[in-house]
Amino acid sequence: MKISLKVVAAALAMALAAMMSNGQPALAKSSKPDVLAKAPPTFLISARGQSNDGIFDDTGETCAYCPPDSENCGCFLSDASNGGTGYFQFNNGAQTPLTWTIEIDYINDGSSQIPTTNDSAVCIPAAGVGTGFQTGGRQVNSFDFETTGQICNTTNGYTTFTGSYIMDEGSGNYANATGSGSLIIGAYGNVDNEAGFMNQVQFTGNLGQ
Amino acid sequence: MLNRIKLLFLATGLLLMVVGVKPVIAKVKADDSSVAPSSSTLARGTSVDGYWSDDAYSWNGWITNGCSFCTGDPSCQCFYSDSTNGSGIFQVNINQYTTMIWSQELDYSTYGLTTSGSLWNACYPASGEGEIDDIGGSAANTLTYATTGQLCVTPDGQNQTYTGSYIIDGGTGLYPDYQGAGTIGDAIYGRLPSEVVSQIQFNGNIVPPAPSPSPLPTPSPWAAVATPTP
Repeated sequence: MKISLKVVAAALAMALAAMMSNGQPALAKSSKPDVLAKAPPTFLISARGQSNDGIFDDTGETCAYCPPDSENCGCFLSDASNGGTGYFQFNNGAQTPLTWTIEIDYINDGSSQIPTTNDSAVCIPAAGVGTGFQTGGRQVNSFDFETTGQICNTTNGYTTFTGSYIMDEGSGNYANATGSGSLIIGAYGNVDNEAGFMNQVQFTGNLGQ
Repeated sequence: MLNRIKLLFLATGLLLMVVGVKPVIAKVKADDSSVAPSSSTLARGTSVDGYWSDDAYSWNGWITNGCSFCTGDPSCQCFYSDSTNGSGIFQVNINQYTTMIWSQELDYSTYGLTTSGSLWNACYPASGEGEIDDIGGSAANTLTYATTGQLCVTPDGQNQTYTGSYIIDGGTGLYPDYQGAGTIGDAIYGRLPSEVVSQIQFNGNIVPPAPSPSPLPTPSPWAAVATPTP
């Protein structure tokens, strides 16, 4: 196969142009950082998942932070089992499979309810814990996190959680993980659903060591 | 013939890379009354010397004003953090990230506490403000913002997270009077005493200021409803 000298020249010119533009759109205004961060770097992470069997426990019996015989404490439980999915992306790298579990606890007494514009919907401060297992690669990397936020009824009978997370610890590459960001859950059900229902989770934030 | 087609194809690709591939709609020239498209913004940082403060009574009965937005109210407390000896990363769209210097104050009212969901731990309504300076290593590039949200103690009782939203209320340099909004997530490791390690994460957007007068209506819930004139 003969390759034209013009083709080679054009390919080299294109590569040179790509290097000069640093792979950015021509409108990029940013400059390369000329000040190195003093602290260990943090990395952008994005993770998302879908669960098919999220469930509320409004008795509090299976909730980690509800005391026995509590009348007003409940929790939302969700994970990636039974056909659920999970994806984890580290620093704009390739997506890797993720399994995960989340528990969000809340105390639903009158003093903690925050009214919304819908008479039948309220928001409640909530807190919980979770774990993510990054299953791609040669070893399993896991991270534990805590979260706080608000769990709210939507106007159409669904539930959302808007919170932030703090990385606790982990294993493998994330043994000393720290980090923060937002954690959002959208659940296609509510406390009245006795059967599991679909829900989705989204992490957007950072992870450091 | 084939080589000419290849050459034409590669030349076209080179041209597209140089000018930047943009959606067709982006080529429409904006008139003075149009609103510029917003850009996504990601920023994150670490702080190693955050500290808590409050408006406390001193020995002589005076109230020490330790928080900017507390007005002599001991039930109001605050958390300060910045990137001194920490780090800051700022990114617009998918451009190369740059560094930034940042500082933030979060004031919260212990009077307004609610249970966090884990017993004995609380959430507090919170608000504050912050600065993002020296973006890209240039002191000219700055942004300021205000934030509101909720500060909660996590289930283990040792850490806190802040879940809030921000609104950009000022900017200079590359971002003169820019506007924008998004979410803030703070992670605060440990409680008093000071030297608290914390992290901050912004996810949002940024946009040049809207033309003046703003085409956007300003809602005012306190405004009297206009009575139609017959």
